[in-house]
Amino acid sequence: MTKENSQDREWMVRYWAKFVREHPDKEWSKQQKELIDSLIS
Amino acid sequence: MKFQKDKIILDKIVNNLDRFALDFVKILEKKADYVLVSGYVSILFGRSRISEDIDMFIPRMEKTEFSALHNSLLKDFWCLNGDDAEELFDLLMKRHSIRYARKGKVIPNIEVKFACKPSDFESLSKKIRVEIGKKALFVSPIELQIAYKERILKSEKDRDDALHLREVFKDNISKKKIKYYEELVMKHD
Repeated sequence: MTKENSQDREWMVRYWAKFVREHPDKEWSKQQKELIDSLIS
Repeated sequence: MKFQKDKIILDKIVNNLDRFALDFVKILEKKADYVLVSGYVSILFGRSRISEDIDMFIPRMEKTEFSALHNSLLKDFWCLNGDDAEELFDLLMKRHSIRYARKGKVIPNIEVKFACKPSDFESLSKKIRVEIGKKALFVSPIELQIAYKERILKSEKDRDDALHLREVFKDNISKKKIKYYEELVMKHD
């Protein structure tokens, strides 16, 4: 993985974590549920 | 997410991986103590990825106690490593893990190990109660998870999991504790 890819990935992890921290649980968990339930029944 | 002295209250919409963990511990906790560790801890607190397994430590127990636990789990789950409780117990005693999944399925599964290292015992003794509605799960201290993922596991996925926990818990974790756990895991893992 290039340095730029790694930085972009870290930026996204931080962005989503900030979203989780600053928004109601129901809001982020609804999106998380859509992701997880699409792959695990 | 609400942080109280000895617990975290999550108002999340439960996904299928959460449901699997809750259903498994509902049976297990009647027979044994436990703590959830590693990737699922990050996922429980919002990490945007999936995992095919959930890692769990239980305290070492006698063969008869394990047989009773195994038999009660067989009501809703099956063990991927075999049926014989004695053989499974021997695997656990040799520091291997055993995996349980819902009947008729292989993934997701829960990887169960006896606690054996100092950091495993620390996870068990300092576990955090996470309440989701009327149900609860016990997870390892967040600072220990960060230290373990950054200092021992160190894969890209683990570093991202640790970063997620650092960001989500930035106002609720202790840098002093992370340092303490870094020293613990570097010494013993």
